Amino acid sequence: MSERLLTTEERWRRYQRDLVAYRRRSMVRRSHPRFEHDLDIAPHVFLLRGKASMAALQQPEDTVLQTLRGRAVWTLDTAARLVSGRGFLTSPDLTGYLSHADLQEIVAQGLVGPPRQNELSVDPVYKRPPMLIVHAAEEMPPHVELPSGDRVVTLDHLFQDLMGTLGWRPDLMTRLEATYPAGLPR
Amino acid sequence: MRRPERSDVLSLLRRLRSGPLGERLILAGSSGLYGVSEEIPALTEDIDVLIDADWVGAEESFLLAEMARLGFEHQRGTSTFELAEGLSLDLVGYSRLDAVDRIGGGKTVPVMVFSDLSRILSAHGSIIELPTQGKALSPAALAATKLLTVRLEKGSKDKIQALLLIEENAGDEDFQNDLSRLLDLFDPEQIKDALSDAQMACLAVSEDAARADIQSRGYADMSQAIDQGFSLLKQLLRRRGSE
Repeated sequence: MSERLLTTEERWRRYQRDLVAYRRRSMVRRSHPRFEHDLDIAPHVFLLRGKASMAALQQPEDTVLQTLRGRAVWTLDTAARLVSGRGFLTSPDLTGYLSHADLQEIVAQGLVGPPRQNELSVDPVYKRPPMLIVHAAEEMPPHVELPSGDRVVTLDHLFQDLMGTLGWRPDLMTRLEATYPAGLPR
Repeated sequence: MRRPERSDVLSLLRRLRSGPLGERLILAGSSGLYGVSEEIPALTEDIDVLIDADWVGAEESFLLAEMARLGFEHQRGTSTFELAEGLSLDLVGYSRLDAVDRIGGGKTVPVMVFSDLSRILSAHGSIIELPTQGKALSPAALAATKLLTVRLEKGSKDKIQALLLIEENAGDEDFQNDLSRLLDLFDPEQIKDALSDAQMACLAVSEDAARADIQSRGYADMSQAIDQGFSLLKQLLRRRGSE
């Protein structure tokens, strides 16, 4: 069945309707004080297909954290927890950048199960066992080392990962900015 | 109506170029990508050509006769012309007399006139002659129109195509200077909205890239190219702001 073409008049009315809706949407975005500041953030897709994988933790979280100290660069919820003691996701996962070799090593050591590349999510809508969620990287993103020896992404990179994973979340960004210690480089 | 192939569009443009309308019709919209990129998907079912709406108003009978001679059937009440073989050509208006959104053209062929197109087409170098013959928007002008256009029903398509064009021309300083000069024609607040739309397009594709299955790895490459285009756009706007 062929669709009837809209006349120019009808298209014009639709365009006017779009403009009204667009202005409203723009006002909503601009109503947040972070609007201009966050325009500068280029989203980074932490869960990028081909780079990201996840493996169920086979040992307590602390053991895995300690084993990967100085090797992984933690981001998202894990970085927030390490830096400020408070995360922002409900699933108790570890999320970070790790080399392929390091991932293979901890699989062989039995710290985590076999990695998989499906059903990747940092915010699952169903309950699943705690996971190590890894973005494979040979070159680590910009990071800082905490007094504990754990490495976390810089705040700027955390915002890029956050945006590329959960979308624009001005509420979380405001909170993270307030809790990231002032002494840490951005 | 059938989805045009690149060869259809370029061949039609060559045909138009050889007649008196050739000087007046400028390939644009998503079909404009057929003129300036081999890789970026046009994702369109019709062919958009820009035309001076004031000229249409003055020379409507000539336009209708010439289009009929070329085999096009005009669709009543629209600015659409169709060929029997199924290709559809839409006239999109600009004006050299003003830069406001309005309906222009003639009584029989009313054409929507867009202020952003009117501004962009008034700038030097916005129109190029394709090697395959025919006029088209330059890559920078096409990127600017796609960054600025408001078509909510099309989702992020225009912004994605603009960012891919920017990424594809990353090494071309002329492209960057031209795009910067064209964006300078617009109010800074309008540019902020355009940047915000582009950022939202990155987010939309990043979700696809994260959820794509093993058969859809192309999403990952495209998402990275789009992010790269967004970073380049930010750099270009920052450079422009500091000048």
